Amino acid sequence: MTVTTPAPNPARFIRADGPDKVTGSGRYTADLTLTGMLAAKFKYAGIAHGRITRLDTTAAKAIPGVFAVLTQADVPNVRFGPFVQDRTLFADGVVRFEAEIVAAVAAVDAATAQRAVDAIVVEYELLPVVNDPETALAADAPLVHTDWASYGASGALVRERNDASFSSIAKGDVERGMAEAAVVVRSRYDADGCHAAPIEPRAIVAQWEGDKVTIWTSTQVPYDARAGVCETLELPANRVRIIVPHLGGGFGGKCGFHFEAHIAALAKAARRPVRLLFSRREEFLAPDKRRESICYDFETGVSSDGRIVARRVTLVLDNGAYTADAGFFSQLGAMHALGPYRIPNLLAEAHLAYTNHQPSGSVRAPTAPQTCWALESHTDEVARAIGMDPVAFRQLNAVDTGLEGPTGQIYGEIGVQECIERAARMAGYGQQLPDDEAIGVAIGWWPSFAVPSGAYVKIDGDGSAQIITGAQECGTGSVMTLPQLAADELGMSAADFQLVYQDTSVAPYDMGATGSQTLFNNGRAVIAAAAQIAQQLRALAADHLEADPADIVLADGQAFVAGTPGRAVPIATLAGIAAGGELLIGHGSGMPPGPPPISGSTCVGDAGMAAWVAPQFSCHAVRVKLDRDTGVARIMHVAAAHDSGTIINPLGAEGQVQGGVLMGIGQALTEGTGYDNEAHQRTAGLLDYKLQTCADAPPIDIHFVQINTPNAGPRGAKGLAEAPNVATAAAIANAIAQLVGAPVRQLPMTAERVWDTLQEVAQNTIGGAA
Amino acid sequence: MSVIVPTTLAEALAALADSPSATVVAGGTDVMVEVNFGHRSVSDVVMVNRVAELRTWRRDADVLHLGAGVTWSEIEASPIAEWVPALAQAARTVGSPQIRHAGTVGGNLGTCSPAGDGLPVLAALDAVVHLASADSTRSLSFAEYMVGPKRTARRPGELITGVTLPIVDGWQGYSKVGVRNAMVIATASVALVVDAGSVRLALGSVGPTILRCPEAEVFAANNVDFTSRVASSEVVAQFAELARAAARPIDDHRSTAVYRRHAVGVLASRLLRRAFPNE
Ligand SMILES: Cc1cc2nc3c(=O)[nH]c(=O)nc-3n(C[C@H](O)[C@H](O)[C@H](O)COP(=O)(O)OP(=O)(O)OC[C@H]3O[C@@H](n4cnc5c(N)ncnc54)[C@H](O)[C@@H]3O)c2cc1C
Repeated sequence: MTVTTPAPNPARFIRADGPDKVTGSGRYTADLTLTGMLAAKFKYAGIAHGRITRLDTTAAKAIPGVFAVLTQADVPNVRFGPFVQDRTLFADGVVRFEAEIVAAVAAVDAATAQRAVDAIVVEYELLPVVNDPETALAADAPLVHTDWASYGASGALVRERNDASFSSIAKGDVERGMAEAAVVVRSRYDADGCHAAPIEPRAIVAQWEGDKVTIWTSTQVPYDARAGVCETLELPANRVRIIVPHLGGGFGGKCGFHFEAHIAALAKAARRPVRLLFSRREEFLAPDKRRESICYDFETGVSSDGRIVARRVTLVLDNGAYTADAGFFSQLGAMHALGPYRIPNLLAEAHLAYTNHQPSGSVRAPTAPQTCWALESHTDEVARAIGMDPVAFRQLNAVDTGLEGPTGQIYGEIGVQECIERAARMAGYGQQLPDDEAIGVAIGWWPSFAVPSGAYVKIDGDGSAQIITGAQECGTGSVMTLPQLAADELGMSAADFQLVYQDTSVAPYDMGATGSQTLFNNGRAVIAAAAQIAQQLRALAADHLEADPADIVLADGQAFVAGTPGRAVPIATLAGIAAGGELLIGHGSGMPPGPPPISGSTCVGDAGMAAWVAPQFSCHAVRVKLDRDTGVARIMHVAAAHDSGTIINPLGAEGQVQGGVLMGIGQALTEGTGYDNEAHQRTAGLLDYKLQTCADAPPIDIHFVQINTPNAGPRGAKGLAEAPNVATAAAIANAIAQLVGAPVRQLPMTAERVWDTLQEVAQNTIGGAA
Repeated sequence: MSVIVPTTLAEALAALADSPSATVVAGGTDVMVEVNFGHRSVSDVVMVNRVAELRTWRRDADVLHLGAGVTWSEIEASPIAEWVPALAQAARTVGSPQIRHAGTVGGNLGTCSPAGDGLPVLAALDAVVHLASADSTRSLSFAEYMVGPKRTARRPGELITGVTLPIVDGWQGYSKVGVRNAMVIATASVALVVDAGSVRLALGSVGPTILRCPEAEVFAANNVDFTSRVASSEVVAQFAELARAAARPIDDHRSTAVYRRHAVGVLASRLLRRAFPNE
């Protein structure tokens, strides 16, 4: 890796939670055991759409060892949801997907709980299954929610029948642009849904003491989980405490509020602590977090000199049965379908269609990898249609410093062009390759999310320090990076700080491990908190050394007078003095950077995704070897160049890129969720849902284009956790398209689908556009 | 539920005679998955992983005898890998290192899935499966032994004691198509063995049992040159067609019948070309 602009502190430090996790001494939620603890099990619908005609829990309650059986009748009648309040804790008369929870049981052990679940009698009147997002939008399609119009919803959403969120972005005159174009290329692409698949299936333990409840849970977003419990069980925030032990991965699948309230309600009814442990199958079927399937119709007009003059694109996203955090995905998907390109005339329209599928939600860079795959495959088709090299086409049409993006945002210094150049060079783009190999290139982008966040820092009398943060560590290592920021602010070393985190009753608010936002926002908070202590230390040192506080420098664990290093006092000594007087306690939050202005475009259903704070850019170039006889693609090498602003911990940053790339390879080749005719998932387990293994991992070369970005995170950092997952599948697709002679129009591009496309090319049923 | 852990074959057979419906567990890599998925209810268990007679192998002239408890990691290593290279190739594709340390050839035969990686090689080598009960022993050809998908001729109370394989002079190989490089069930698999003027071909994952392809075998034997290792491209192509014709694949959520049939042809032609590299 080459660093163009040296970072202020490019230390490569190992994460502090690593040894605990590797040696097994770290504790996860499933490791907790409380006295008298019961086991929870859910009764799921098992069918995709039906009206409950009978629900009888009498026999289940009569089983010895069963302490509680709950249905919607036993909890407050609250409809909830972050964008559309279309959901209840338990089925409210109608079930709308196969893993809808009808009832919950707490019993002495898991086997007894399962017997009770099996003894619950439920009868249904079957309702028509809405199994396809596109047909769901037809005017005469059966409704997933007959009462949709009466639901509360965020004012920004445009809703109509099964369309839970319509969004459009328009600029210029797309009709005229198309009419003036020298060439117009139309493409259709279909991406299957897929899964976050964290290795730790979720676990929740709830225990009441009086009227307060503590919930240990494997969530990426403790404060969201708390808000959900408070809303659905009608409790004030200060009586609900969420604690996250170590989290065994999330990838977005553990964002949002899920099952914490069910378990808290069970524990209350049973008057015992209750623990829920998911099986792998449940982890696949039940959470509100599956990467949405999307289908795309693209139309792009280009001038004879290769400039994009117009784009029209329609997206239909699968919302599933309930609107989780996917409410903003239609606008986000539309942004990704426009891409980081300069387009004077455009119209993007996106629909979020209710179906009887598992609800969709934030899986690492929601809407982005599949939309980048479709857009960038289409982009290669456009470049080839006018006989232009795909890399040159992108260099000509991509956004750049000082230029205007599709919604009219004018960019400050950005590194997208350098990303293209670097990735192409690392991949050896243009080199002579064997006949069965090709290099595909794709560019991607992703916003940074500027939101409120808080932290405390304190230094005790012995000079050791703690960071008490609301941030959540889901495996990205972001929280592990916080001590470095505090240490630099205070002239101490990262090892002087211990982290206290993942506890809503101890630390101030943070949005959680979501939206690549931890370092971006909580870093700001930690620096602000540490700065308060730095000021206290300077005042103390000034007293002690008889100097002006403005002349005190904090470095190497000492406070000294600028210019006279001999006049110094250890920070530990100052901490000892403070322990007898005004304590060293800092709190920080800082104002999140505001959204940049945009002009010239109009948005319908604006969920705030048209203007991006500190946008990140990337280019991936992937060399693929294709076995044309079987359609099996092998990834030989990946080059990934990223503009994520300043890189604070290169080791952690590289890990994010490697993981994102490998996840992208899985999305490209093997990971996809199909539904059978009754809307049951066909691959709800790791036996049939194939993640990539170490044996599949190619060599990955990484380059960071480091720009100290204003109006961004600490030291000019942007986010990084999601961006590496955006462009890999697209780059692979563009290599495969060259080798096949046409793009593979479905994601994942399984060996069968590649082989089918090869057959079509051979039979000349599709044009050899590539 | 009782768990019996015998250390000799006699003890194991006696335990099984007492409880003929007991679940035999060797490496447990199939059994435990079935138990965890609720596909198998276990009453009594006879562990066979400490039975010394089952854990050993021996070579008698041109015959290799593998005890049922020999693991894939032993088979993928020297010297077994030099004697039955196709079986070693199959072994290397089984699961992951952990699975290969625990999983056994006897367990692969016990489960007898059409996708079991060892089975096409055993079929192509005309392996003999040895079974024993407390009062008798018998030996079955692989074709007699495997009667359907996960169905065998093993009777209650019988233990697989081992399998004998010829050590042949000719080329042999195993190939599979799967969706990733490790921990993957074969979408289609093929074993090819060349031995003393014969070519033997067995297909996995494309039928209810492992399928031998008599027509392809006879065709190849009649049309290749064994001494100069020549096969024309027409012969290779025709061989692939005959392999495809012999396949009886199904559509399921892992793959389509059309693709599976196509893939066995590709694998068969590639293996034949490796066996007969000259045009
Ligand atoms: C993660 C994973 C990956 C895998 N990958 C592959 C793969 O790539 N290819 C593949 O072919 N298989 C694979 N398998 C399946 C399994 O590992 C193999 O089939 C292995 O050979 C089974 O051996 P075992 O000793 O573990 O069998 P066990 O699970 O102990 O037994 C399997 C069956 O055989 C019976 N049995 C075992 N020994 C005897 C005996 N001596 N006499 C009578 N009956 C007996 C058992 O009762 C049971 O019915 C995989 C399994 C897992 C869990």
